[in-house]
Amino acid sequence: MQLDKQLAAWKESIVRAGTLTEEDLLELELHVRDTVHELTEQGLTQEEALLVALRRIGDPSVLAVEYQKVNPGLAWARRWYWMAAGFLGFSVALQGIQTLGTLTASLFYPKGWSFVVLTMSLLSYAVLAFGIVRSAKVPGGRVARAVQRVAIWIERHPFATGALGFTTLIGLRALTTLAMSRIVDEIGRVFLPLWSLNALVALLVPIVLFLLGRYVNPDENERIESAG
Amino acid sequence: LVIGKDLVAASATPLILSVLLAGESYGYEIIRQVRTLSRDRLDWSEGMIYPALRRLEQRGLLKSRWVESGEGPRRKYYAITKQGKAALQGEKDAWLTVNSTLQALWGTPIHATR
Repeated sequence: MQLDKQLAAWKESIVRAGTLTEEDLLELELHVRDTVHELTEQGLTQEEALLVALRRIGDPSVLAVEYQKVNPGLAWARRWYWMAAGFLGFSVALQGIQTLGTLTASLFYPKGWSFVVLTMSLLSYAVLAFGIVRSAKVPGGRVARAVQRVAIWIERHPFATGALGFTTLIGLRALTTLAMSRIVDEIGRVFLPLWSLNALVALLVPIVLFLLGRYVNPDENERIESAG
Repeated sequence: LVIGKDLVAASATPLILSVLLAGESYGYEIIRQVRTLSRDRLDWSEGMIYPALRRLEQRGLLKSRWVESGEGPRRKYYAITKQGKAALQGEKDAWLTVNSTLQALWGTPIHATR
């Protein structure tokens, strides 16, 4: 039903503040439904009634602040949860890059170049991850919407998030170890030139990332210059 | 007539407690009753009553329960506690003191006019 859909969007806007319990939210929703019911009986269409009802109930952000005073622990619990989830996500991403890199490198075994391939692929996967993070910041973009959906899922499924995160982490770790065991004896035979090349690449990483950052997000005055 | 935000907030506690003195009720009904009694002049941002109710409950002045009803939707009912009644007496004394002081200053009892 249309009403349920619009109510869900409104609820989402309040839930994001994270200061209401499920019960608080249900109580508010029932109030809105009561108002809509009463107003439609007075002759308003359901859409009009919902508009009035939401206006009467007040600004979600103001409400969220009021509820924060009643549920002071809730906002902190949420903050800690997101910190933990963020740490887990970061670990998975980092491990993922390492796994992809070592897997790619192990494909080139035993041609004698896997260490270079490892460095190069680690670099390119890192750049790829960097690109994904950048495009997630474009509001309304496809990536941003996907990230938002994931965020809502994480918010609603703390246990599944933890279990999935740790399982993925362990799985990726095992894969990396497996891939590494294939190329590690080759790394032992690597010559000095390869090490030098490696050092050069390591030196180039921050520079490339810096330049890429400038390119993706130029300074304010640069943007004005190019516009003029 | 516009009643300022601070006064609306300050009067919420005695109003809620007084409405509940007549029997248990739920947020929507409390608001409707206050609005009718004030002839629409006390206009609450309706959502605000719920955190206010929660605060009063945390202070032990109210207790609440969910009531499942056969035909209508379920609702959270609030009832005043013994402690709440004592607190209301205190509020009453305070408001009457403010009221009588103002009336003494203004000479005659003033009834709200439009």
